[in-house]
Amino acid sequence: MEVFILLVSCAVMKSVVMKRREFFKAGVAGAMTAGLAPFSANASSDCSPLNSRNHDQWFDMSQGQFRRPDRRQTRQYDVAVIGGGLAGICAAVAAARNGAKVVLVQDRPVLGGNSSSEMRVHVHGVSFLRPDGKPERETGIIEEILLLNRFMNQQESFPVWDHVLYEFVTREPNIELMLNTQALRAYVSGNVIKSATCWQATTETEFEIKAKQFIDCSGDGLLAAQAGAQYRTGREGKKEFNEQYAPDQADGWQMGATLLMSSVDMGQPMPFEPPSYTIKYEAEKSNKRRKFAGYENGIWWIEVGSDDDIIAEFEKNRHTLMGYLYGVWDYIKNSGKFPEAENMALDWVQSLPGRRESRRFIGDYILSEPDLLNHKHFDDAVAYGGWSLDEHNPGGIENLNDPPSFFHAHFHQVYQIPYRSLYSKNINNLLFAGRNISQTHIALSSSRVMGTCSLMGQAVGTAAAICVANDVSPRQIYTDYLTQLQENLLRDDLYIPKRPANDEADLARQAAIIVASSTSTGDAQLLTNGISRDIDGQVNHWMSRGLPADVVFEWQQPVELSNVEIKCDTNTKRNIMMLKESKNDDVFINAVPPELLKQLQLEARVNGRWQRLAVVTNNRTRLIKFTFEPLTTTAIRIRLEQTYGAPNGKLFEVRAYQA
Amino acid sequence: MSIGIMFGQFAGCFSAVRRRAMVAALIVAGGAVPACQWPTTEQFDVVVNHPGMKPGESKLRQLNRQQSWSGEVRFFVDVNSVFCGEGICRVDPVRLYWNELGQYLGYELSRGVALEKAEGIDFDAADYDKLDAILAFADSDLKHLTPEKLLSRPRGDSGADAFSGASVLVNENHVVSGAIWTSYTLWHWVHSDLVAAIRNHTADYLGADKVVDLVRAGNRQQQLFAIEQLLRLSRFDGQAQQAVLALSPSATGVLAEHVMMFAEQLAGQDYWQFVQRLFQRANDDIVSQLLSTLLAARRVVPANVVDQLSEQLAVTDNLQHIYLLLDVIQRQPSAQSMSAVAALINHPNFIVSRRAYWSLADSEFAADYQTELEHFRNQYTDRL
Repeated sequence: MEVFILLVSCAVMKSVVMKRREFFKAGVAGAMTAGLAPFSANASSDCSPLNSRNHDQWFDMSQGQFRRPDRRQTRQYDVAVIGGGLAGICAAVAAARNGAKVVLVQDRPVLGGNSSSEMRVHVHGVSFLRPDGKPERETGIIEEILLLNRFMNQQESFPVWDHVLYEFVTREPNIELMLNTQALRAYVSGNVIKSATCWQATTETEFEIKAKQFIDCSGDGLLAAQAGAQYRTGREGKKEFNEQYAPDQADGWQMGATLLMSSVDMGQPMPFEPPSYTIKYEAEKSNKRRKFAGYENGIWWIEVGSDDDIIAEFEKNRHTLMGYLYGVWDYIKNSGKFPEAENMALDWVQSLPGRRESRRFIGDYILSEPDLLNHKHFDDAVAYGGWSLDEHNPGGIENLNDPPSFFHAHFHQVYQIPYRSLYSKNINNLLFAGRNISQTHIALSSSRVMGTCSLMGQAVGTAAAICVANDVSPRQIYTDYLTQLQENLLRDDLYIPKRPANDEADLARQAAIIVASSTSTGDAQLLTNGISRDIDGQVNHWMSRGLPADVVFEWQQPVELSNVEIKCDTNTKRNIMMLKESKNDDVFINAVPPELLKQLQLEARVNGRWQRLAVVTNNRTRLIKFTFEPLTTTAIRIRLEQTYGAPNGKLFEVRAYQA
Repeated sequence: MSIGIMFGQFAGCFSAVRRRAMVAALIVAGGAVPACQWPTTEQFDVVVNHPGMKPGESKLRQLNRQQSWSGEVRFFVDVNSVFCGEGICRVDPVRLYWNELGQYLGYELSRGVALEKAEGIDFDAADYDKLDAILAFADSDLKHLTPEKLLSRPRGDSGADAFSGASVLVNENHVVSGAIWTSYTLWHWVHSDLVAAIRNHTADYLGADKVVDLVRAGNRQQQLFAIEQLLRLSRFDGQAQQAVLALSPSATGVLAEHVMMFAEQLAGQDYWQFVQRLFQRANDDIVSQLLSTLLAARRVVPANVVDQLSEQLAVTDNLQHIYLLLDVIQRQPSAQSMSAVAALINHPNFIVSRRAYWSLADSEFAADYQTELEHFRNQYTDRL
């Protein structure tokens, strides 16, 4: 505003160089308000700070040097991640932490995708397994994010969650974040993406993003499609992959998008007048499994699908969805069947529909229903899922006869997701994570939840970094670097079912003895068995009896160490994602897990004396890393001092590395 | 633990029960006893909190103690089958049985009474069996549920889309399908304040001396009960200590924890004498706990106790004990304890000998062992 006022003042004070007609002819009117003189004032004028500007696009336009804004930049990275939902965030952070220079391109003003405040979908993953309804919760980067949210967002606000994600990404070295930027086109040479053309709407800037590896986590996968990556849409027929829950014949149906809402009790009667585009909800025709429990936090079955081009139809469907949403709300408010809703009023309505399905890219392996239900073992497993086969009916709310979801099957244990489903079959430097991976429609019905997608993201981000470091393709990771990929993921606390860690560089495994000061459950010897959670009925932890407690590792010969990494407990049998209804029971917690270690220290025995190497206070992560100047020692001692509430300390793994 | 359903043989002396197709044998200290041989001997009121109770509802329940002609004892209470959260359940009278230790024995229905599931369907034989198993399982997920949480849970396959709020399944193994409220209600009666009331009553009835005898001669469950009651009765005299000490070589898990709880109630000389004797007799689990407690509590251990503990270094091959003992000794070294440490320098396990070396080298008694220390240092200079 101050510059504006100064601008006008200068124009009044000085002779105006350009006459009005010339002003319009030069086309500057599009850039400046009519009636304002352009700041093409004499460069010798004393209207500082304008004096210092003699060349930039804004100034040049005012000089009439060109007519249209034309901002272009070229950027070079190791890894370009397209899509800033949770899968993309995890991919970007994983790649950056593994040494790559990363750009994260997100086409919205906020991060988080379907979890953002624009959508407010809960971050489910393996949130419940039969028979006990307990989760097999994801660890790794997604857990780090969810824990950070518990610390920074105790009020459980969705808009604040957006900025928790922003903090998580922007504090990470080696990541550049580009919001409000969409990848529009790919420039491909042979089978390799050379660059992505991206448009940043807020700055009117076209970016050419060059990278060695591209990861498409955008859901719809525009960049991947533009690059020519093979994909398919719709439902496969039963016989193609021997899927019992698939339709007899293949068709084009894709699960739809949804608009959510939330409402609050205003303490007094709140009339509701439906807008003009409302579509009446025909309750009498609706399948009785279309329930209203928890309607005040949104109704997931307000959904419109497509058996054709669901992307091209998006805007039309969006408008239709708004009609249905208000139709359902009208039914709740005005049908008389919900007397408790008299005082309720909408306080938030989603505007951008949350999508479930569109393109599914083809990798070297197509994950399908039998792989999930039979718990097929993959040597290249890099992630896992366990949400039910939550296939929504074709058409959504436009198909009232069918139940909104078939919930074909529920899992008793998790299933593996192979790496070969996460890179393109025909584009040599393209990976993907999220709902667009190489899988059938039925497999997608389970794996599409964001917790599972986040694991995929971490896997491909790590893979991309290995590709860059070794100048290989994603496919070559499978053929030549699979062990390295899996070991990296396990070290970074991504659990891979049935795949214990076996890192030869981990010196903790060579310790001659491991001794704990006290033990209430488990055994300190289990801290190097390669499995960092209790699972499959097996105990894989050591838990102290009270605090403080120590665990000591001793070696026969001195070892040189510079890193010690431990995995403590956060109770993976309890969900920690943010819920609108903010539950706190045996399956959900709405606070920092009390089991999480808060304070601990690491010591090394040097010349017979314990020397403190590091103290961690106010710890916020399950994976705790100590990095210190290399030293030679025959013993380390980890002293657990305090948790966030639990009386005992519990560890699942200790690793030790040389520099 | 005894579990089962009392069945029709009670018909002649008590309200006849529903006979099930699958008959489970009742085992109560030697065998089934017909109801007519359980003359009711005592009734008393107990205040019981049940999560299903409505505000203002009376919490008093009449607990009945029965003793058979052969001396067996059981307790029972009559309850309603369900506090129904949804107002649509049928309520039936159910009698619940426990033994003297408050362990669930079984349930009984009156003649003509059948339990009901959703939509008015009667229990079948498998349902009755399952209910019995559910009630017997103390660590059920039902423990953590409240009626409000139960009401918010979905039924059947309504599940939850990834978009929605969380809906959680109840553990299928912990409820009779279609009878969640009955399962919940009866489980919380079985594992309610009534259990503690029964145990306390039994201990008071037996008397403290007999409780001490149970520590010596009872089975594991009886020993747990006995130590718990000694703690409640504040009975820590010599006899009680002897009984607990006698138990210590074999006590593991929860029983070991009870031994430690008992020890922690002693004070002054009593405590240290008990600790010394415990070290001599107890198993590895208890010794580990004892050493950890000494270190964590940072107690000033009497010098004679430290010296006596150091004697263990010569006889134990438990690495954890050696480490913990060395930590205790290192805090309060003495000439005698350091002598024991010095002897470890020649331990066949190099890790132990090195640990002993450093303990000795860093102590005020190092000068007394210069020769041994120097020899060790020269021999293992690149492995220290």
